[in-house]
Amino acid sequence: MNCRDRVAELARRSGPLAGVLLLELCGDEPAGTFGTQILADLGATVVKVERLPGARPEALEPSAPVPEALAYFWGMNRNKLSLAMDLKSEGGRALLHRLARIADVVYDNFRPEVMRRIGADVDTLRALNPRLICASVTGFGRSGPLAGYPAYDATIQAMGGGMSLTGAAEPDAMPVRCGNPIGGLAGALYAVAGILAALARRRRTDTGAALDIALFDAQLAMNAYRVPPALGAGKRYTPEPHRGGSGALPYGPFRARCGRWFALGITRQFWASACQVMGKPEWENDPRFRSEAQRQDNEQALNAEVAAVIATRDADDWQARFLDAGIPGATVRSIRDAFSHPHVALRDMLVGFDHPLGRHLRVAGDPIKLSAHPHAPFAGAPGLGEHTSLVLQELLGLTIDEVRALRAAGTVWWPDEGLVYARPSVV
Amino acid sequence: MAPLHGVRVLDLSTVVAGPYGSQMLAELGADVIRIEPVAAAGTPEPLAEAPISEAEGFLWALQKNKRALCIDLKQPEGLALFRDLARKSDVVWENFRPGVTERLGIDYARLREVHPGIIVCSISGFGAQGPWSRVGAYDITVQALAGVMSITGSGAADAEPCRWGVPIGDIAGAIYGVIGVLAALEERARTAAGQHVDIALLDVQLALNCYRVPQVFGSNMTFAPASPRRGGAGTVPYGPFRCGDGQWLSLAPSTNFWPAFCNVIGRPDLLDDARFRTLADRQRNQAALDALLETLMLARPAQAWEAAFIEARIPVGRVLDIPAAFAHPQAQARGMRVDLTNGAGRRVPVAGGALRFEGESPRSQCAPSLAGADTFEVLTELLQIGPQRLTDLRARGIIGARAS
Repeated sequence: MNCRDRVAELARRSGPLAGVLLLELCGDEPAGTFGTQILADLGATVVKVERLPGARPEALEPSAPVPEALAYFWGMNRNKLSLAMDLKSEGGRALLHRLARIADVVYDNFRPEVMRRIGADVDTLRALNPRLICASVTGFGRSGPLAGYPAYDATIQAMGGGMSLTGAAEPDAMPVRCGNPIGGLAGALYAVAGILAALARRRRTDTGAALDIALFDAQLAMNAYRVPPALGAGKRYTPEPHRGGSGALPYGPFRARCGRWFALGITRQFWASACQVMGKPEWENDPRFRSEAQRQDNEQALNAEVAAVIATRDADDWQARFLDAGIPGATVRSIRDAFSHPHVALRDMLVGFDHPLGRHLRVAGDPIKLSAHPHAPFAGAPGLGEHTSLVLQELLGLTIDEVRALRAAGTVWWPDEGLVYARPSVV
Repeated sequence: MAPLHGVRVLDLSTVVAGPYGSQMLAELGADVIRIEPVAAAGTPEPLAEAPISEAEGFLWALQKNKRALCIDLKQPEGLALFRDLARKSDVVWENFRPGVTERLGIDYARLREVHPGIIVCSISGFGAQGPWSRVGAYDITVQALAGVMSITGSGAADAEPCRWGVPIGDIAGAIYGVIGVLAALEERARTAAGQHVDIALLDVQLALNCYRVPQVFGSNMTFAPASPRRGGAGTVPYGPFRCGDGQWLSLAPSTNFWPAFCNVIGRPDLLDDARFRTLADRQRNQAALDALLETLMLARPAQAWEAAFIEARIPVGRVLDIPAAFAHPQAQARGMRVDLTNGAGRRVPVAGGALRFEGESPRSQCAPSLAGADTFEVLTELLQIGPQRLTDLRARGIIGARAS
C-alpha cells in the first residue's frame, strides 16, 4: 500500500480529499479548528496535534448536561484524529518533523514566534518537505506593523469595517458585531480555499506553498462592493438596518403581532406582489412608493406603514403568505428554531452522534453537497490522544513497543482506558 | 505560476454570492468567462469623469479579472455555442433559481453528456429540492432564518435583531462554493469524473453556527437575542466601549490577557477584586464590570487607549469605517487597497484579495471587462470561430459584442 492509500485508510470519512494528510497545529479558535473541520468533512485525514494533559484529566459525569466547553469542542472537531504529543520536547519535535515530511498540509493559527519555538515555522517545515503546503492563519498576517499582534473576533470585526455598518440607525448607537465570530470563521474559509488552490497547483508543478492568511485582510476583502464608492467617491456607509446593500427597501426586521420579528427583503421585482401579500395593493401605485427611488425618498413613511401592517398578523402567518407568493421574507429564528426549518432534515444539516460518554450530541451538517458523495455519517470529535498510537504506527511505521516507549518518556500520550475529552485548554 | 492557472470557468452568476465566488477563482488565476445576455452588451460605458455609482461599484468589486461574453442561451445556436465552450472548460458556475438550468438545457445532467469531467456549481438560497427551493433568498432572509440575526444586536431589552452589515449570507455561500469546486477538481484529478456541487445559502449560514449547535442541543444553552459584550467562548469584558473622543474601541481581554489588561487601564486592584477574579466571576458580575469600564474608558481618546494596549500586546481594535479601515497602516502594508485603471482611463479603488502566498509576487489585477467586451476574443480563441461567422452570429442576436 502506498503512502496516500495508508493516509486515506486513516481518514474517518470518505470524500473528494481522500488521501490528503493535514496536520493541525491550532488552538481552540474557529480561525483554526473550523477550517480544518471543513477539510475533514471533505475526506482529508486531519491529525489534530494536541498538547499533553496537565494533571490527570477528570472524567466527565455521564448524566449531567454536556459542559459548554465540550460542546464547543464538538462543534468544530468532528471527523478528525487526535495525536497528543509534547512539542516542546526533542522527541516530540522529531516526530512532528517526520510527520511533516509525509504531510500535504500543515495548518496553524499560532503566532509566528510560537511556531518558531516549536520548530514548526514555515522555513523549517518546507525545507523538510518542499511539496508541503503551509497555511498560517493569524490576526494580521506575517507582514506589516501589526504582524504577530494578537487578535480576537471582536477586535477584527471592529477594525475591518463591518461593525461600522451594523447596529441601530440612530446616531451614536453602539456598533454591533456579528453574533457569530465571522472574523475567525472568514479567515478559516479563505485558508481552506487557498489550501485547495495550492493543492491544484502542486499537481502540475510539484511545489508547495506558504499561505499567509490574515483575519484582518479577510474582513477588508468582504467589504467588496462598498469599497469603490467608499474609497473612490467618498460615499459614507452607516448601519442601515432597514435597507438592503443595493438599496432595496422595505428590508429588515419588522415586529409581528406575536412579538417575533419578520424580516422583509423586497427588491424591485417583488414590490408589486409584496403589496398584494401585505393587503395593500394601492401601494403599488402610490406616488410615494412606486419606484425604488421613491421608496428610498419616503423611507420613514414606508417603514411606518409596513410596520403597522406587519403588526397585524403573527410571524408564522406572514411566513406562510410570503412563501406561497414566492417572495423573500423570513421569520427571525433562534439557533434552535433555525434547525427546525424543513430544509434542514432534507439536506442533513443537523447531524446526531451517539457520544462515547453516553449522551447524544448534535452538530451542524456539511453544507458542501457533492453529487459523488451522498451524505454519510460523521465520526465524532476525537478524545484527547485517541489516535496517538494508531497515527504513529500507521504513518511513521513505528512498532507498538517504540510507541509505548515514547509514551513512557512523556513524549506522547493516550489515556490508559476509555476516552478523555477533558483537554488542557478545553474543559 | 498562479495556483489555478489552466482552470477555465464559465460564470453565469449574478448579484453577489455568485460573482464574489467566481472572482475568487479568477484571483487564484483561473480563466473566468462571465456570460451575460446579449442585451447587456449594449449598456453604455460610464464617462471617465462621472462619479462611481453604486451599480458601478458592484461591477468593479465583483467582476474584475474576468473576461466578458454575451450569448443568448435561449436560441439553439447560442445553446450549442455554450455547450461547445463547456467542452473546453472545467467548471460551470451558476446561481439561477433551481429549475432554470434544466429549462435552458445546461444543468449538470445535460452538461456531463458533452463533458464527463465538467464540474457544475449551483448556488441557491435553499438548494434544488424541497418546499422552499423556488423561493428567492436574500442576505437578510438567510441571516434571519439561520439564527445569526437572533444573536446580533445591541443587547438592549426588546431591541430589534440586527443583520451583520456585511452580506455574510451571500459571501460565505460564495466561498463555500469555491471550496466545493476546488475539492471536486482534486477528486477529478484521481477519477477523471466531474460532479455537481450544490450549495444552499441557508445550509452555509447554519454551518457557521458551528460550536453553538451542540451548545444549544447538548448543553441546553440559549443565546440572548444579542450579547454584544460577551465573546463566543464566554470572554467578558468583550466588545465595543466608548472612549473620551466618542470613538468606540473593541476590547477582548481573554483570561490570559486579564492581568495585563488591568495594569494598562490602571486598575491592578481588579485582579484581587472577588467579583472579577476568574472568568466565571467576571461573567457573573458582567453588568458591574461593563459599567465600571464604560466610565473608565471615557478617560482617554480611543487612539491613546489603542496605543497603550498595542504597546502591551493586548488585543484591541478601534471600530473603523471602510475608508479608515483601508487607510490603516496594516491594511496599507498588506496592499489591501488596489487602484485599477481600465482602457478608458477610469481609475477605481477596490479591495485587494485576502489569499496571500508568501514569497510569490501578488498577481496583477485587471479592471472588469464591460459586458460583451471579450466575446469575439473568447470565441475565436476557444472555438476557432472566424470573423465572418462572428459578425453573422452577432447580426442575428445570438451573441452580443461590444464594439471595440
